[in-house]
Amino acid sequence: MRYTASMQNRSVQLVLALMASAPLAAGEVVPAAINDLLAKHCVECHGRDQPKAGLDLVSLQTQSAAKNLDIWGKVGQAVITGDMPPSKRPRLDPLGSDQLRTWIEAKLAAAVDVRDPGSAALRRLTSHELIGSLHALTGVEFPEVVQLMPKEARGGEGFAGIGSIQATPPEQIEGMVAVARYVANRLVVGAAGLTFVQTDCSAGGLTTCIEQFLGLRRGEWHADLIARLGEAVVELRAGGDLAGMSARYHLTPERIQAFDILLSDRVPNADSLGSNWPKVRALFDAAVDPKLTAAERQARLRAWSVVLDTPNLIRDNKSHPPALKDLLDIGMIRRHREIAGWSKSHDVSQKPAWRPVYAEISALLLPDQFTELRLLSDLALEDIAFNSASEPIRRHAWMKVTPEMLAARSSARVAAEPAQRAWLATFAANAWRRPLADGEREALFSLYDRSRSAKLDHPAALRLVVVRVLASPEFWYHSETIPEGRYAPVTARDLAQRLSYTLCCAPPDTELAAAAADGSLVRDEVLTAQTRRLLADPAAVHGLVDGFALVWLGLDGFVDADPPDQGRFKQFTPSLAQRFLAETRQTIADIVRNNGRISDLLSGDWTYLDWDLARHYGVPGIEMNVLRRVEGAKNRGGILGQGAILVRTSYALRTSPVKRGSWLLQDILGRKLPPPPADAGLLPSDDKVEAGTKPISLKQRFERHRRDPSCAACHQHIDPIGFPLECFDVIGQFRNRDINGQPLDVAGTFEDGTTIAGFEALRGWLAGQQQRFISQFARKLAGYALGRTISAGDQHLIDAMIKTSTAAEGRLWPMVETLVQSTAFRQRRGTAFTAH
Amino acid sequence: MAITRRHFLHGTGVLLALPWLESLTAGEPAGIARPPTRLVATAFSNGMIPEDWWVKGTGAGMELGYSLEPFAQLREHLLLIDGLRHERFINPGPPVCVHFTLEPAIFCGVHTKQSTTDLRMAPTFDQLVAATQPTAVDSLVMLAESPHNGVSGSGNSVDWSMLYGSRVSWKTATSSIPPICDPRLAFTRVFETSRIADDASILDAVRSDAARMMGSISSEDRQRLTEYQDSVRDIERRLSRIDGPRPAGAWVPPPATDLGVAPAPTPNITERWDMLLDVAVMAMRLDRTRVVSFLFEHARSIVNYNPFVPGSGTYHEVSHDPVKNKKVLSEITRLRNVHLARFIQRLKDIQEGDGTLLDHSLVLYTSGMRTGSHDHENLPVLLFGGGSGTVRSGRAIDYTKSGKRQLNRLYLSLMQRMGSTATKYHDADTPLEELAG
Repeated sequence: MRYTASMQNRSVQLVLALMASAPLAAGEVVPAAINDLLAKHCVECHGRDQPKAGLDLVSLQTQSAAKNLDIWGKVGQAVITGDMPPSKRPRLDPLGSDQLRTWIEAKLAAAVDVRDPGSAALRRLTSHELIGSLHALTGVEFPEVVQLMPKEARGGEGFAGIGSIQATPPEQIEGMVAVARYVANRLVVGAAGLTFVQTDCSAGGLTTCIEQFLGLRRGEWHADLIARLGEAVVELRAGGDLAGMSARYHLTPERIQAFDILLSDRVPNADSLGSNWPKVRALFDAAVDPKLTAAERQARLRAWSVVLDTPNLIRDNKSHPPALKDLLDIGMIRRHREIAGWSKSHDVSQKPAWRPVYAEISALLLPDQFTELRLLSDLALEDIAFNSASEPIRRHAWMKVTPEMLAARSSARVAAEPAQRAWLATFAANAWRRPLADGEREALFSLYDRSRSAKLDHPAALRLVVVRVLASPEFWYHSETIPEGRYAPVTARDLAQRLSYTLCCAPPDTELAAAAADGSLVRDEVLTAQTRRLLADPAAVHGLVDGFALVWLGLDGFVDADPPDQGRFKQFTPSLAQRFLAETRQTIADIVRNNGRISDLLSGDWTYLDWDLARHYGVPGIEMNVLRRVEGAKNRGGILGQGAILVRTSYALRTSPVKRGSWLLQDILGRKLPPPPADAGLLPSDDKVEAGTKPISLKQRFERHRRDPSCAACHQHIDPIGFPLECFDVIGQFRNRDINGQPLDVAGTFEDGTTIAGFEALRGWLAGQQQRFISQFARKLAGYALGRTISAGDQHLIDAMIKTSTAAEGRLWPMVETLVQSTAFRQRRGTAFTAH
Repeated sequence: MAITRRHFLHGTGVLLALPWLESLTAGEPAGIARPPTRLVATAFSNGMIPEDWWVKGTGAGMELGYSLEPFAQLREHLLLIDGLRHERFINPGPPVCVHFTLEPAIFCGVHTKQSTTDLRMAPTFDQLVAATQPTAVDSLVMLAESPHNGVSGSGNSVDWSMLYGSRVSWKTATSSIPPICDPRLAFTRVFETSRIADDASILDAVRSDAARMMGSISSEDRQRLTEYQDSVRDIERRLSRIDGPRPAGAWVPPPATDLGVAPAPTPNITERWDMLLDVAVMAMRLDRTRVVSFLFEHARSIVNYNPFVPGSGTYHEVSHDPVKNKKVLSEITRLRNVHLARFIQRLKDIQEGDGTLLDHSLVLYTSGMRTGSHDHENLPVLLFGGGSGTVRSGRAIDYTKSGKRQLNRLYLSLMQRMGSTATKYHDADTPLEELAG
């Protein structure tokens, strides 16, 4: 089959026609004309005797179509797309093809029960949902907890959260309990209140926590830091009934803000500050001058952060001290220290010459900790005062604490215990996403009481109950109320859960929860309004971008995946990988947030770039090191010109037009191709040749390969769209010559002579493939949202999603709204459901 | 089974005279205590180069093919088994690409089910053995490469879960074990199990939560929560083993002192092999587990071997052309063997009871293909270790002419050596008598 516009349109019409046909009576006799067609074109391979792909059409004809919906759906698809009969066999003439299709469509239409919302297996929280749920519950992001469990399984249309394949061996339970413990250990308990933090503070009380904040672990280089921090930088001041207590760790709001700015996305690249560092530092000092008023400091800090963004500062990177890059790296690494472990090579104590510089900058590298520290100052001081503070803290924290204060605080702590015990019930109701039933509250309290009488102190007993709550299947599973009857709408509460977890990977926010509580959410207009509100919310990036789109594109885990060969592609650093992912993530998020056109993903003429990426790609005119939307950048429109996609579709050492072409054709455009034969000739895994050898271009190698007809059957579809992407190397840089310095031929030619020459031409061709792409997008989106495989029975939903989006210039929101309004999303099978 | 050295020793109580008992701390029960037999099932993907995978001769005089040379120091502990295969994949052959069928089924030889939502295979011998072991951890299932997680969208392998390629250990036909890839997680699982819950009441409570939820869910979902409850019970049983007394006269493993710290994470595949296998050595030495399952890579591996074997590249891609890439594939096989040899040497260096840990182990090493061309008529199989005196090593056995070439016969033999009373295992109804020599 060839890709022509008329073919494309016809397929779409046929798919639409599939549902429009009038149902035929069940149990019909196969018409003679159809019998002849099947006999002539199909049953030689798909007959009773050793049927190919296990498909026996002879037997299938006689069975109930309703029980074999999916098989017939696939047969219909294969005929519609022209994949069957295979090219080596006699092709169906147009009349026969129409007849066969119409018959299959009628068979399907008669058998599909459009009221059946489909199966909805009990689902466990996915990794993203776990992170979102914990964030909603604790106010802290714990992305690292997913590493405490085995890698999650994907299935259905390729997404996590498919209940039927979420196995629960002991390994999984152990992981779930480990996550619960991990979070519980980060609960800080004090008279001033309860709060979760990012550091384990269970073992040595808060002191440990503070030591870690301040980097007081071990090693002499910390002494410099402590001295500096102790003298001038940090001071904890307590508020509330502890007013008057202070330690000489001085910390001002301005500094916190400055630190935040420094480590935010707007931070210039580490090696970009160069000799300008003293200037930047001087500006900073001027901005935080204590003689200024608060308003003046704010204004200067804002100005300072803008200065950091300016290209003339960034550009001069010739004479920067080598230590600076390492030091800023440390800042980044520290954030993930608990996840990644402490890397020796980044420990500056190994490099004495750099120590003074480190001490100078250290103060700027701890903003996360300082921010948390400020929140914790009350609790921290209390802990230092009441618990056995470790020596470093005692030495360096100078405290003004009177015996009266201690006595007052001591009774305040005891007085707070009943309220904190009662908090456990609130926490459980939030964690389990439902009100507690009779007896559940008491059971939690009784566990707390028993723990206290078993000699656990108050914080330890609280943490134990938190473990119990978070280890529960009530937290881990999306359990829904099962309605009476065959199918019925889910409850407003369950609908809110479905909506929020699908769009945001988190439990409903206050507004959505309120719409669920008063029942108004089940009304169409309220549901649509809530859907639109969430789509425009930044939180939607966790659902439709992280949970859906990046998984579909194969980019989840991109940062941790095996990188391109590090010997050859030295520019590919972990930090570049992060930029790549951020670029694609922002591009998709733009479409999600702004109700953009879905097809812009492939054929839009805009993308997101910052200075780092623009420099890597060789795109001129990008001055700011902030990811911003860029219109009309040559060779960089849509996701196909983005580094993450181009790395993901390459091998470790070379690009592969086959890998890129078949990914685009199958994953993105939804075409099905047979697999290559096991003995398919392969290209060398490295296309770089020894010096002195005559290079053969990749294109020439393929021409040879394609002369073999068994190869040509697939390659005639793959290569024409794979070769135009050859203009990008393994790490996404644009090129005119291949790795051996030979000129690149980036033209792909279809059987019918249509040629796509280069990336811009490919984007143009893809614009003509919009329907195919949107159809695949709809299928994957529905598979993600419904947590199952999309079957023939869902075709009407997919068609409706395509239709509403197409009617609105191919925009995303109408498609999502149609999905959310659908029977499949709003209803579930009930107690009386039985399959046909 | 023939009378073995193990049975012999058992019968005479001669163990009492063996020197290793002297090293036991006072107060531990003397008696007929013997170290248990351990099972390590390892596999690699996409086959080897047969010209470089052979042995000639026996014992110390054995010659080894190029790929097997890393085992030179261990040749007396090596048994090469030729000619075995999974019969159900021979005729009419696997329905699709063996990456989704035979490779995942290397430990049982049963076809996987084509699905992305309903994964099915069969219980595997390592897990059947694991279920009966009285250790703190029933088995340690590990994979050195991050699993391929997607759904296959190509041709007749459309709608197969890629998950199969990294799941070789199955408890039941529907319950596969997600492998541990991170050495730190493996370490935690083996040595910190007892810290899983501060209080048994937590496990008790979550189990009753599941029981309560059972009342309000569909019957299909009930199976899922039943698995949940079973797993919680399994953990409770294991926790009680850690705390509970060992039966009088039972073998006492060395005390768990100086475990060191959990290994640091690393992106390097060969370091991951070593680290995961090191955890396995410690776990077996301290008798935390007696069953280990280990994959060097998954069935559609994207490991880049170029840094270790220059001229190679992304593994699955390289392996597909065993003719053109013969040299580098042989080197990749050799690379794995260097690291497996290191592991086996470590087992050999640990003295326990009447011999070494290796003497009390059965280390299987195999692959779901013979070569990268997806042929599987004759799978590569090595067996290391003495199986507590039940295996005669330092030689080769050839079954290519045998009428019963089921690889499952070997697995049945291993199960029996691990104490199983089974007499059948999938398509095998007799063990390989020849192992004992």
